[in-house]
Amino acid sequence: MAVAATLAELAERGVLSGVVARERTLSVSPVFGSLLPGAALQRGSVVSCEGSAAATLALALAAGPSQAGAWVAVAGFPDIGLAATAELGVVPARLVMVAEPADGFNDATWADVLAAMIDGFDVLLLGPGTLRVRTGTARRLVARAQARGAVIITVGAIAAFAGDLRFETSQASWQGLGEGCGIASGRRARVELTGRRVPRPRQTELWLPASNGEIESQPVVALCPTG
Amino acid sequence: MSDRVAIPRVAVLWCPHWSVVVAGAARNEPVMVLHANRVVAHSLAAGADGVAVGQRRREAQARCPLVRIEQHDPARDARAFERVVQAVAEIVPRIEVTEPGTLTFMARGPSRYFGGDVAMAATVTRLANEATGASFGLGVADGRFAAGVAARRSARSGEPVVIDAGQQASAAFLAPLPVRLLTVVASVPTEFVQLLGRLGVHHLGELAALPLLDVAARFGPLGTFAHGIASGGDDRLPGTHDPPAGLAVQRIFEQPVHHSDVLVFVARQLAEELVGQLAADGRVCTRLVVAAETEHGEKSERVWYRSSGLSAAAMVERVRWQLEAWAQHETLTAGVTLLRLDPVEVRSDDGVQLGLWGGRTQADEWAVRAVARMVAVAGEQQVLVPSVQGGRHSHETFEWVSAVTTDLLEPTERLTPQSAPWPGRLPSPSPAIVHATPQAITVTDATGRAVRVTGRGFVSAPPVAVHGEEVQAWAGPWPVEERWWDLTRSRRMARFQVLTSSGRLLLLAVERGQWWLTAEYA
Repeated sequence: MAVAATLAELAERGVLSGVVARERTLSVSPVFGSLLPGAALQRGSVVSCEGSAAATLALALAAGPSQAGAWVAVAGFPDIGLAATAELGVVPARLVMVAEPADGFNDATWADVLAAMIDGFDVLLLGPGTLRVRTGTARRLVARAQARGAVIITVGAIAAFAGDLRFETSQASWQGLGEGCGIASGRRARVELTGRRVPRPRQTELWLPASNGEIESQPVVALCPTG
Repeated sequence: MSDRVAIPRVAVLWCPHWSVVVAGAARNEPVMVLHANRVVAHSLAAGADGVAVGQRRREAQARCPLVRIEQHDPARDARAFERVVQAVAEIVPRIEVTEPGTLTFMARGPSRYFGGDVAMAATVTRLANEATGASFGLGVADGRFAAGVAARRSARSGEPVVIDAGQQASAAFLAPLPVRLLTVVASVPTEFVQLLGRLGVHHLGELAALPLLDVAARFGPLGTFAHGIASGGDDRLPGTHDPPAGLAVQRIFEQPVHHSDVLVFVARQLAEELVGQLAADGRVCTRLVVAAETEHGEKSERVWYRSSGLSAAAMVERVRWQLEAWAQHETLTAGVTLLRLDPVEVRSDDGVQLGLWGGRTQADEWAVRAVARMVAVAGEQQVLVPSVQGGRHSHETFEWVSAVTTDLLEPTERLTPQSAPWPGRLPSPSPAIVHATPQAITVTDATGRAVRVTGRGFVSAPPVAVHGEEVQAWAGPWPVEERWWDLTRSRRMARFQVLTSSGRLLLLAVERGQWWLTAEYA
């Protein structure tokens, strides 16, 4: 008890605010360091990934918490590529997906399923299938995620889950592919971060993905010229 | 070891394969209970046919085709066990439910009342057997481990087993028994016991005969623990103590609560608060009293024990068991007004605990519970987890399997890559979007005709447009010929990567002149 009391006292005086802040965040890959201060996502926030490299970016964001022990739940994204997911660093052992049946979930079922996911998982990855969730339901779910401290990442813009942070990928250029020769080895893309708590947009260039399937900020030197 | 507190005299009441008893197996009926596709309990008839704990479903069915299959449901087992707890509680105070099917109590008081351990054991066994119709085993010994082993022996012989008082007697009883019991009774990791076997230590007596210091030096805290219980000591880990009063957390409801959901929700808040408090001091609760009271003064109080420590999720689960059993066996006349969680035994949260848990974290436990709820809402076939499959195509390396058929916390089996190589696999990066059902598309050359690939892998003309969109770059064909030995299932196809002018990189396949969009590098 004595230790707890001392810790509480220190936290009150602001001495431990750094520690507390770190617990309220989920750390992501260091390559996002120039976009996200401390390379961390605020717990309870909603992040939308948009543009041509949205899926890769969303998986790369989920990889950081996943490697730190968090579970990732996927909903409304039946076409997720598992090989790419694993290459980008999401741990398959802590990945769960809810697939809609052929006739789809109704709004009440979506609400129940997503609520269960928010209660049990730290990262939720929502795909286009969740576009059908009603705005009111989504608002309640976002409030629940804030209370519980789960991070919601949407693949593509999903209006009902309006993002606190918005990553826009653009100017993607694939390397390694020629006219009938070569093989795609990596994609250079510009990533721009905007959002409520970002006073001015931040930009960076990333390999999404690099030739080994991960993401990197450093350019990868091509070993043999193609094209 | 001399500074240890005296080893308490403990009685353990144990029913073999309790969940089979709950499933209502007739005397000669083969029944098995499955969890994550593996047998966790089976009836005697099934055991006689070769079904064993830990077998896979298919293997067990092959040995015993007539076996009835029941799903593992700890909550149902706990509800049914309440009858036994109540019957024994008539004569014994402060019963500890270790898990459904096993209960533990201090033997000294009841034995004195009934005139000796043997008389007490006979009475308790009779009460338990009458309450359920199952046959229970009861063991009395100094130390929880020895008593647990005695209970197992008693279940086999049908007579209560009473070991003489004193650590020497317990040690002598344990000495000729196999070390495997460490896993079965005290949930010591299997790897540790297997390692003992490889080192030539096959019996508990041989382990106890080793010098404690050497065991500690070789195996650390886990070895010390195993050595202690093998030599008849208590299974209280070093650093276990009774906490000061005032750690209990409780909630008083101004409006009586009638639904167990609400209580369980509150229990979760209380449990997290309690675990947080203890964790701040580096401690974990091993014995918890859960108490609930209604407006009319009806009370339910149970002691729950878990040697590896109760996490918040485990506490909530026990609260749920207790409340459900209470509501089922007594007619409650009013809503619940009080819920209290009181830790009565805590110990320092050390490395041993992690070992016993297999490195499980709080996040894992919440996730497993969330999956159970998602399955209840969405259905078994809708909640999926990845499993390694192996294959040449991007959709084949992993497959999704239903989460209920696997053990979420033991993923090695489903995620161990096969050693076989898959020649013809495309190198990484892999596509982030893989279409579950490929979409038919058109690929045309400069003259507007469909591009064809010959049997020898030549392309009729460079592709210029995909679905009307201009092609910027492309590569291929990478031919695949699968199962050429099987006429009905053989496939020949060629794969292409195509980059369109809008910057989309597509993975296409052509089979018998038809082009398919199989995946996208989004």
